Amino acid sequence: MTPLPRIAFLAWREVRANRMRSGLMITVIAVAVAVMTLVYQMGEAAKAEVAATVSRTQGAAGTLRIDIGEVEIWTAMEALRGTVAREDGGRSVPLGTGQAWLPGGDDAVSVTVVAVDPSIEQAVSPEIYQGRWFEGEDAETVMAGAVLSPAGARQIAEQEHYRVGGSDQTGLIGLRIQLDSPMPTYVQVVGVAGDGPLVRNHPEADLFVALGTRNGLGSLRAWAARSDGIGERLALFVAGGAQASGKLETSLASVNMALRASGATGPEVSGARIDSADDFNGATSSLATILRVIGFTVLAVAVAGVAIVSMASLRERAGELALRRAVGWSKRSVTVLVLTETLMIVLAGAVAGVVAAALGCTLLTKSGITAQEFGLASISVGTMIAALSASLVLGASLGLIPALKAGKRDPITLLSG
Amino acid sequence: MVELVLNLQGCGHSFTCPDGTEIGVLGGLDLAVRSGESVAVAGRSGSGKSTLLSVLGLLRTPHAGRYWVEGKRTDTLSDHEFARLRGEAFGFVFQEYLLMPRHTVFDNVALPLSTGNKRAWKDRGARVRGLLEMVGLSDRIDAVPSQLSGGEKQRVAIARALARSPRVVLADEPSGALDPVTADAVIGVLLEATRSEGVALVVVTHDAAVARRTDRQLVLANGRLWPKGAVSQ
Ligand SMILES: Nc1ncnc2c1ncn2[C@@H]1O[C@H](COP(=O)(O)OP(=O)(O)O)[C@@H](O)[C@H]1O
Ligand SMILES: [Mg+2]
Repeated sequence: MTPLPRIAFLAWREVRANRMRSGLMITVIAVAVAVMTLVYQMGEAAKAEVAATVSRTQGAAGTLRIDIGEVEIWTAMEALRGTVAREDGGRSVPLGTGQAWLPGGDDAVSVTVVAVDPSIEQAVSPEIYQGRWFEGEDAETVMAGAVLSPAGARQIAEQEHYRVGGSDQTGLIGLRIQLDSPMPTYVQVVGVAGDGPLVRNHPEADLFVALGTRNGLGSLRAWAARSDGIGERLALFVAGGAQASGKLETSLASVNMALRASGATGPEVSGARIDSADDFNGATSSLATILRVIGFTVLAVAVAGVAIVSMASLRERAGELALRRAVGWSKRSVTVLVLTETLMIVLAGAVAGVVAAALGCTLLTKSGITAQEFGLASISVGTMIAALSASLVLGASLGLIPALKAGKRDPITLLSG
Repeated sequence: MVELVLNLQGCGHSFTCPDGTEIGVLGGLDLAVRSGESVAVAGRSGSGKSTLLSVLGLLRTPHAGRYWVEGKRTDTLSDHEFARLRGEAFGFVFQEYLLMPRHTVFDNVALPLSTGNKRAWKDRGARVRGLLEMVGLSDRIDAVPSQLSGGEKQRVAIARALARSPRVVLADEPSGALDPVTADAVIGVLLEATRSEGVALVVVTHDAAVARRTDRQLVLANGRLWPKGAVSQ
């Protein structure tokens, strides 16, 4: 077998000797690879963006439904400062400590939202929350019922000259405050944590359960241990530890153990993941797959074109190939030579295509005609690697056909004249 | 003892026509070529001269007979060794030149060195320039075949045949496509170059003037080689 570096050198000579044809084929591959790269990147970007949005609005760890008998408990097993979201259209409200701005008030009040009322969304106009996420400019129109921590409630009450304690505290309920962090949201105070009179006096008091802020499951445990008559309509949000959903099984088991340990005789606690993250991510995954298939098909057609041209040129190259065999090249060396030529053309085209796509994106973005909308702000390294490896795989497989045929060229044909 | 570089004994070969009939081309043919010797082979068109060269050059395995190249039996070689020996021992010159049309004179002459060892490949620049000087084409090293005359193309082919320092050059009607004056010059180059390189030459030619300049003249007829004059052409 002729040494590989030598074959590579001679393949390069061959590519260069047929400049016009090689140049044309490289251009065709480059265009196809550029298209493939852009389409692929679009799919990847859409996937990443939706995944990020889903994670931001539905909680990185997902939303869980916990059932205790007839009772449904909604819990976003997330960091305390995370976001709780319902599955139905992605209504989201931050849980955690934030700066609250009271209408007309000068000073920010530090409050902790420990739970959110799911029923309040009825007060939000449907076109706002259906199928959309509440963030950015939408945030101002978001209304969510918030259960405040006692300390926050006290601060607000002091500032607003409500007296804390006694039935007067009901004055807090219905108050709209703007929560500044972790993202701007309007909330409507529907309760105060700690099982205080504010909650009890709420017309739908049995809808709320005050929870501790440190550990959602701990609170749930405490609450479950305490409660005896759980109403059918009761629902609540708990804030769990970060990524707690992954530990749903163990968490639930520990809750059940705690319940039994505290002597509760109620039904077992069970749960399931109920957020729509999988649906969204699944949809964009199929979209990305379709785009990948389209890109791959375009590239396959272009590489097939190169293989066909290479096949057709075998007739013209009959003398040269037979001659190589006559001077001692093995069949395999001739096959490797022709395959290397195809791979060089495909690789050159692929690199040119990727560079063109990347430059194109950068230029578009810089010139202000934003390509960002299509997820084409830039081409990721992953996309580049995908484009290059797809080209090489296609080049190697489709290029093998003319290469094998070239190897079969019998040197005897030289003397047939 | 005289060193035999080629020794073909009892060679027989036939072709099967599409209708199934067999045409015997070579039969009981013997040929021994000494190192550095030049042999001319004449014979009618269709007498099997090209077939004989293809057998000699290890491009074809004959149906009958035994063949030694530099004392090595060839019927026991693997495909790979067969191709390797072909590249090492033989250089070919064809009537139609068969140069690579899009490659330079340099690349064409260097072609056989691509199967040579590392040193031969590395030193190919000097080797090709030396050969081109020998055939009188030093100034055309960067030309492509379409820029050359027939005689020049054949001289490139001769340089190519000698590039890897073969033991034998096999030439099939090398001057067949050239006018008499050019033919004479090209044959002169072929004979001188093979002689100066110490390479044996088997040349198929109809040209009596060409044949006369070789050490030995043979005629292929009835499937065998005969000394010139033994058969009427
Ligand atoms: N591949 C082949 N198939 C069938 N017949 C062939 C083939 N090659 C050569 N022949 C026949 O063999 C005979 C000798 O051919 P060849 O060696 O080319 O003769 P020459 O070179 O002396 O003109 C011719 O009759 C030719 O038709
Ligand atoms: Mg012939």
